[in-house]
Amino acid sequence: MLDRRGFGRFAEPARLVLVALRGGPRGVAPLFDEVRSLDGPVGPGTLYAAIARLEHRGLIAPLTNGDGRRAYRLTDRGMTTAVPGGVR
Amino acid sequence: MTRLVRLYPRRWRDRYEAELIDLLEQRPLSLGASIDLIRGALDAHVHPQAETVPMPWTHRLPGIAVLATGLLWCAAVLIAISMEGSAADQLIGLAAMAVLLGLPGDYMMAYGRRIAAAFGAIALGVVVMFATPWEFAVVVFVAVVALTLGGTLTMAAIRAEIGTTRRWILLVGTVIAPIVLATPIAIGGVGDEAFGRVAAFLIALPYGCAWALLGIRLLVRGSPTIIDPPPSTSGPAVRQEIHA
Repeated sequence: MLDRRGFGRFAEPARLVLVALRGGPRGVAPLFDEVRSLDGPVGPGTLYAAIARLEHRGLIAPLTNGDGRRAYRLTDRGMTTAVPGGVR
Repeated sequence: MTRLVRLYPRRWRDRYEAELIDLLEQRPLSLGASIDLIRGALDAHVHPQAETVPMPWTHRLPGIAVLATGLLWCAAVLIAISMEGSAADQLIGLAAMAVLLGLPGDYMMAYGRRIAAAFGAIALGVVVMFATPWEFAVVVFVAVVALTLGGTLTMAAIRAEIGTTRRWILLVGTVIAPIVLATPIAIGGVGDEAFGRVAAFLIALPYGCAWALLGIRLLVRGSPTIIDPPPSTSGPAVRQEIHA
C-alpha cells in the first residue's frame, strides 16, 4: 500500500503515476499524458514532485529509453504498491 | 518556461533538470502550468527529496583543498605584511600544494591543451625574465604572475561551476585590477618596505579570499574526483518495452 505520509498534496498524483506505470515503463512525456488523462490538468511541477517522492521511496526507478530520453518503471516494491487495492 | 526550472534547488536540478526541460519542450504548456511549476519549485525547496541522495565523501575533498588554499594564502599574506620571517614562505608552499590537490578533475582532460599552453607560456616567461634587461623582465614577471594566479583561479572557478561572466568579474576583481593598481606602487617604491607591503596586500589578499569563497561553494556543492567510488546501480537491469 502507498503510505501517504510525506506525500502531502502530491499523494493522488503519485498514486496515478503508479497506476500509469502498471502497464510497463513509460517515457516522461507519455507518463505525463497518461496522468493528465486520469486526473485532468496535472502540471509538470506536480508530476515531478510526485516522481521525486516515489523515486526517493524506491517505488519507481529511472531508465533510459532507446532515444536517450528518461523513462520510469515500477520497482518490485512499487509493483506491490500499485496492484489494484494496494493504494489507499 | 524552461527558465522557471532554474527556480528549483541545485541538487534537484542535478537530478531532474534535463528530463523536465525535455518534457517542457515536448509538451508546451499553459500559464497555469507555469504556476504549477513555480509551486513545484517551492515544494522542492521545502521538501527536498533529491537532497537526500547521499553524496560520496570524496566529493567534499576538492572544496576542502580549495578552501585550504584560500585560508593558507590569506594567512601567509597577513604574516608577510605584519612580521619578518620564513613562516609566510612555508604557508605559501602549503597553499601551492593545496592548489594541486584541489584542481584535478574531469575538466582538466577537457581543457588539457589550454592548460598545457598556459604552463608553456609560464615556463617561457620565466626563461625570458632571466635573459632580458631589468625593465623588460619586470613586465614579463608581472605577466607571468597574472597568468599563474589567474589561470589557477579560473580552473578552480570552473570546477565550482561559476559562469563565464562571473568568472571574468572574479578574475578582474581579484587578479587583474589589483595587479594593475599595485604594480606602479611596487615599482615606485622599490627599496621601501612599506610600499612593498601595500602592494602585496592589494594583490594577494583579495586573491586568497576568492579561493576561500570558491572553496566554501565547492564544499557545499561537492565535485567529482578521480578517486570517487564507482556509482551504485539502483537494482538489477530490467529490459522491458518502454512506451516512449
